[in-house]
Amino acid sequence: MSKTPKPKEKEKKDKPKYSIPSNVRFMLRCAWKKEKTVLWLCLVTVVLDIASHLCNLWLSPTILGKVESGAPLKELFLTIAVFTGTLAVLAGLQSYVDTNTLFGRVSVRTYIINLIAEKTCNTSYSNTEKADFIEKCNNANSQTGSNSASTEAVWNTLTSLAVNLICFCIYLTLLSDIDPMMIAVVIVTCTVNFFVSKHVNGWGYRHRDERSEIGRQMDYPMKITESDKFAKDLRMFGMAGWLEDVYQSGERLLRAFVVRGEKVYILTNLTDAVLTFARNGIAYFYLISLTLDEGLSASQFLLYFSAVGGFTSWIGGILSGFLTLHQQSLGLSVLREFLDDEEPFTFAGGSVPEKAESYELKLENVSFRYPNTEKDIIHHMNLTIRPGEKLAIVGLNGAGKTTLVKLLCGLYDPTEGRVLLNSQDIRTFDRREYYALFSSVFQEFSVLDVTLAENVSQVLYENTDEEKVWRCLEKAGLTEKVRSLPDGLHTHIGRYVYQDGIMLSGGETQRLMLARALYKDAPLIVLDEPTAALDPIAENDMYLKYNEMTVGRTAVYISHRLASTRFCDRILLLEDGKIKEEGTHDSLLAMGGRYAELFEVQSRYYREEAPIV
Amino acid sequence: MSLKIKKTKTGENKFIWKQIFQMHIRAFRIMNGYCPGMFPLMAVRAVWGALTPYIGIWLSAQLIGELSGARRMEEIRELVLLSLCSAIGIAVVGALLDRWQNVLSSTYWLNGRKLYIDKMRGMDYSLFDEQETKDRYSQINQAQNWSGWGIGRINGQFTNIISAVIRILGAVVLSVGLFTQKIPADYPYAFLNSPLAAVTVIALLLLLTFLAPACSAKGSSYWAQSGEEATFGNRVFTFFGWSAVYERHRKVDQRMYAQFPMIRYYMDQNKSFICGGRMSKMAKGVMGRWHALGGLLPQLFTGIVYLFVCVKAWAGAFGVGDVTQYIGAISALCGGVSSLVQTLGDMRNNAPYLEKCYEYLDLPNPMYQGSLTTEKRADRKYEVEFRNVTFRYPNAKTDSLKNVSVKFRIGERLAVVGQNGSGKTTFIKLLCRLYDPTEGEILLNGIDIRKYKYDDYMKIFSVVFQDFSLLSFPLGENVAAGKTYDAARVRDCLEKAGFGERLAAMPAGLDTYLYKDFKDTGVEVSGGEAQKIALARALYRDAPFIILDEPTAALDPIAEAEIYSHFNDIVGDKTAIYISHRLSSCRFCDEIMVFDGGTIVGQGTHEELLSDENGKYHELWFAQAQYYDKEEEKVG
Repeated sequence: MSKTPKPKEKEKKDKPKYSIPSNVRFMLRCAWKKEKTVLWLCLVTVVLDIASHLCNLWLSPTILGKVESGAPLKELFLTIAVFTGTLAVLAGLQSYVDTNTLFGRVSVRTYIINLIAEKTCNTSYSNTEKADFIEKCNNANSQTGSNSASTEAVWNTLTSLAVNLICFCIYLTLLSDIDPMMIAVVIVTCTVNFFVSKHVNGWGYRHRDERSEIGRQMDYPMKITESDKFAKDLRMFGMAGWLEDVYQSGERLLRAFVVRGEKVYILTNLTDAVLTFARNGIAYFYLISLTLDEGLSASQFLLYFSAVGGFTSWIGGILSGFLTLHQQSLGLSVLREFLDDEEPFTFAGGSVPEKAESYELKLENVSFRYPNTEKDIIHHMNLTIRPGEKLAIVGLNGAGKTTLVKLLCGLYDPTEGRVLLNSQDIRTFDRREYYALFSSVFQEFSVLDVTLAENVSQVLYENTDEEKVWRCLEKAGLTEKVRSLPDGLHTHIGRYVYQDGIMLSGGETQRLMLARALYKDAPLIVLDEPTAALDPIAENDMYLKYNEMTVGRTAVYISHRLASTRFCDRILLLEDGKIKEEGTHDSLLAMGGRYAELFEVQSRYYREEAPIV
Repeated sequence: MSLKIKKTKTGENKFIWKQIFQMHIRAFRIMNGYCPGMFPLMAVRAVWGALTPYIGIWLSAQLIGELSGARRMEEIRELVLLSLCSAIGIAVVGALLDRWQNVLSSTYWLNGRKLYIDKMRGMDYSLFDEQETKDRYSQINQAQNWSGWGIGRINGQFTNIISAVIRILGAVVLSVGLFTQKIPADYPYAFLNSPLAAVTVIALLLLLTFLAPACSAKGSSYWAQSGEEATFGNRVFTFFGWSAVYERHRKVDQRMYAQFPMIRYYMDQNKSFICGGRMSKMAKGVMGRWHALGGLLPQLFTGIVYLFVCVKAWAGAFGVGDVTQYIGAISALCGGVSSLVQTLGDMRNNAPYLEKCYEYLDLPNPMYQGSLTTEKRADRKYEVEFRNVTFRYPNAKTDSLKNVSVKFRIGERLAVVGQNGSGKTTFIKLLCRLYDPTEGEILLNGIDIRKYKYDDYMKIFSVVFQDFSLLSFPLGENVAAGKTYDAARVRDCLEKAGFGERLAAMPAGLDTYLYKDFKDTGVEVSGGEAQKIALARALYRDAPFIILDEPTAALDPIAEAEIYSHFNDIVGDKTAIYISHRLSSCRFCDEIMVFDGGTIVGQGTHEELLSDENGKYHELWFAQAQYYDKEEEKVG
C-alpha cells in the first residue's frame, strides 16, 4: 500500500512544520473557499460506502438462513427483493457520486497549483537562483502533479479512513457476541503484517537515488534523440550508436535493480500468506467448534467468517490509511512551507516610487556575491546614472555586466551598499511598483503562447490599445511581418498550445521584444545584449531603433560589441566586478587603456590597412 | 492540418473488427519484441489469477454444505485444512509469478517510448525536421501520457482478455450443476427444471451482463467526445501551468513585465476537468445518470441470480453449500463477460490512436540511399560542386535557394555571408545532405551525392552548427562523439580550439562530465567554452571538409580574435567553409560568397567584393565597419 514516498521527506530528520490536523484543516479551508461540494460529496461517499458494506455483510448469510430454515417462499422473495433493491440504489448512487467527485477535487488542486505558480512567478528574483528554494518549489509541486498527489488524493484517504473506522466500530457493536480473543488475533496479525510490509516496501524508498539515476540514464538518450536541438549533430557525427549503448546499459542496470527489489518485496507476500494462514486457521477452528458445540447454523458460520474477513480489512485499512495520511501530510507540510516562505524583498508593504519628471539611479558602495560563494561579482562600486543619461556597459564575458544591471533593476539586492532611485533606497519600495518603471530587453525572455498583440502589451487583449501596438510594431520594424499573417494581431505565437500559432525567427523575436519594451513606455530602459543573433544590417537597424527609443530617458545598455555603444553618453568598462575605465568612446580611445585595446582587437579586421592573417 | 484525432465516440468509429484485431496484433508484436518473455509470463499469470479463486469458491461451498448437512468431523477437518493449504499455496505461487512479471515488464513503459525513439533515430533529418512529423509525435505522446491510448495499452488488454476468457470457462464448469440439478418433481416450482426456464434466466442474465458495461461505456463516451477539448485543456495546462511558470529563461520577464496575471487568466480558461466546465455539467446530468445505471444493473443481476439459485435450493434441487458455489460462479461469470465486453470496447476505442501510431512508424524516409562508397582518398581530394541547385522547404511558398551553382576548390577557405534568411544555412544543410535539392544536383567528384552511401558521405564533413549541442557525458567522449577515443588526439584538438587552459582546470581532465545531468561533479561550461569544445569535436573528426557556422558568436572579442588568428592552424589542409555575421572574420578566407534572397549575388575576394559600391557585400561591410572607423562620425 505504501507507495514510494516523495524524496526529501524522510531525509530531513527534523519535524515537519505543520501537523496532520493542521494540514487537514488547510485542505478543508481550501475546499471551503474554492469548492464546498468537495466536502459534501466526501460525506455522502462515506455514508453510502458504510451502508453498502453492511448490506453486503448480511446479504448472503440472511438469504442462506432463509433457505436453510425453509422459511416461506414469500419471505425469501421479500428478503432478496429488499436486499437487491437497497444494494442497487446504493450502487447507483455511488456510481453517480463517483462520476461527480473528480471535478471539485481537481478544482481544489488547481487552486493550489495556482497558489504555487503565483508564489513562483512573484517571489523575489534572488530566490529563483537559490538551490534550496528551487528544491522547495519542486517538492511543493510534486504535491499537485496528478490525481494521486497529496492535494487530491487526501480526500480519498480521509473518506476511506472514516469508512474503515466507522465500519470497525459498527462491527464491534453488532457482533458483540464474537469472542474478543478472535478480534485480538485479527488485530495482531494485521498489525504485524502492516509493519513488515511497511518496512520491506521501504526498500524502494531507501534505494530511490539509485533508481532515479538509472532512470536518468535511460531517459537522457531518448530526450536527446527527440530534441530538435541535437538532431543535426546526432546525424552528422553518427552519435546514435553511442546513445543506444547508454540506453541499453541503463536497461540492464534497471533489470538487475528490479530483480534485487523484487527478491526483497516477495517477503511481504510470504509474511502475508503465513499470517493469513494463521488467522484463518484460528478463525476456522474457533467458528467450527462454535458451530459444532453450540449449534451455530451454517449461515451464521458464514456471517461470522465474513465478519473476520471484514475486521481484517477494516484494521488493515485503518493502519494503511493513517500511514497514507501521515505521508500526505508530510507532503502538504512541504507545500505550505513553500507558500509561507518569507520573501527577502518587500512587496505589498512597500511604498510606491514617487512619479518624477526623470529618474536618477545611484549605486552606493555596492558589492554583490552569490550566496555561498567566495568571490564578489560586483566589488564596492559607486556609480550615478544621471537623469536622461545613456550609459553603456562593456566588458569581457564574466566581468559582471549582467549582474550590475540586475542590481539596478532590483532583481538582486546588494550584499553590501545601497541602490538608490532619486535618493531613496529601492529596498523600501514595493518591488513590483519599482519594476513598473523599467522597459527592459534581456538576453533571456519569456514569450508566451498568447496572441501577438498580448505579447506586445503584456495585458489581455480587451485591455490592449490596438493603435499603440501597431505603433510599437512599426517602430520595431515588424509591421510588414504582422500584416502578412492571416490573423494579424490575433495570431498566436508558438505552436505548443494553439496549433495554428506561428514560430518567430530569432531576429523577429528580438524585434517583438523591442516592441514590447516600447509599449511599456517606462521611464527607465535596460537593454542586455539584444542583438547577438542579428545580421549586420539588422543589427545596425536595431542600434538606430534603440537610439530613437531612449531619447529623453535614462537608459543602460550592455554589449560586448564595442561598436554598438557609440550612441551612448558614457561608457563603463567593467573588469572583475569593478569599473576599470569610464568615459566617452573618444575619451576612452584617447586614453589608450583597456577599452582602446579591446576596440583595436575588434576593429582590426574592418580596417583596410589591417594585415590579413 | 488534418491531423486531428478522430472522434472516438462509439458509433463514429470507422474500423471493422478485422482491422482492430490486426492493429492489436501488431502492437503485441512490437512490444513483445521490446520485452521478450513478458507476454507469455503474463498469460500464465492471468490464467493462474483467473482459475485459482474457483478453488476457494468450491472449497467453501463444500464446507458450508457439510456444516448445514451431515457435519462429519473428519470431512470438516479435511476441508478446512485443504482450504488453508490451498490458499497459502495459491498466494505464494501467485506472488512468485507477480514478482517475475514485474522484472520482465520493468522496462515496458520506457520501451513504449523507445520504439518511437528508434524510429526517429533512423529518420532523415528532413523528415524529422518537418513540423507535421513533430505534430504527429506530440499527438501520440499526448494520447499516451494523458489518457493512456496507443500501443502501450496492449499489456492491459492482453491480460484482461486472457483472464476474462478463463474466468468464463471456469464459471461455466462450476455452474453447470445449477441447471442440471433438478428440483424433485413432487415439489412446487418444478417448472424451473424446464430448459425454457433455464434459457430465460440465462438470457436475462446475459442481457444485464452486456447492459451494465454498455451503460458505463455510454457514460464514459462523453469523455471521449470531449477528447479534443481535453487534449487542448491539457496543452493549456502544460504551457500556462508549467512552462510559463517554471522555465528558467522566463524568470526575469515574469517580474519586469508582471506576467503572472496573464498566465493565470489563460490557465483559468481551461475548464476541462474542473467545476463549471462542460464535463462537470454533463457529469451532473446525462453522464452521471448512465454511470448510475451502469452501477445499478449488476446489483439487479445479483438479485436475479440469488432468486433463481435460492428458489431451486429452497425447492430442494441442491443444498445450502451449493448455493454459495453457484452464486460465486455466476457472479464470476458475469464479471468475466463484462470484462471481456469492456476490453473489446477498449480495443475499438484504441484503434484510431493505434492508427496514428502506425502512421508515424510507417513514415517513409524521403531521401534516396545510394550504395557507392566514398573511396578513402589519401590525398583528400574530394571535390564538391553545386549544379543549378534550387531548394524549397516542404510547405513553403518560396524557394530558399534559387539556382545556385558553385564549385569548391580543394583546400580553399571559403566564407559565406549574407543576412538572416538569405539562404546561408540552407546551403550548408544541402551540402551536408540533411536535405536533398528540390531541383538540380550536388556532385562529389563528379557523381551525384545521392548515389553514395549516406553514412559514407556524411563522413567527409566536420561541422560546428550555430545551434550545436554537447551531451552530458565526459568531455573526452564529447570531443570524440563516442565512447572510446584517442586521448592524445582529443587533447590536441581541444588545445587547437583554444580550450587548453580550461582543460587543465577540469577536475577530472577528459573524464570530467559536462553539465550536471548525470554527475553532481559535472562542470557547467559557458557558451564560449561550449563553442570551443564543439570546434574540437569537429577537428577530432578530421574530415576533409570543415564547416563552421558562426563559431564565435558566443565569444568575447579577445577569445574571438584568438580563434581568428589560429584559423590556419586549426583548419590545416582541409577545405573550410566559414559562415558568419561578423564580416571581419571573412578577411582571412580566400574567397567570399555573398548570399541574398536565396541566390549568390557576389563571389570573390574581400577587396574585389568591396570595390563594388552597389553590392550587397559593400552594404553589409559598412553596416558594421562604420562603428570601427575612427574617422567616421557617430551615427544617429
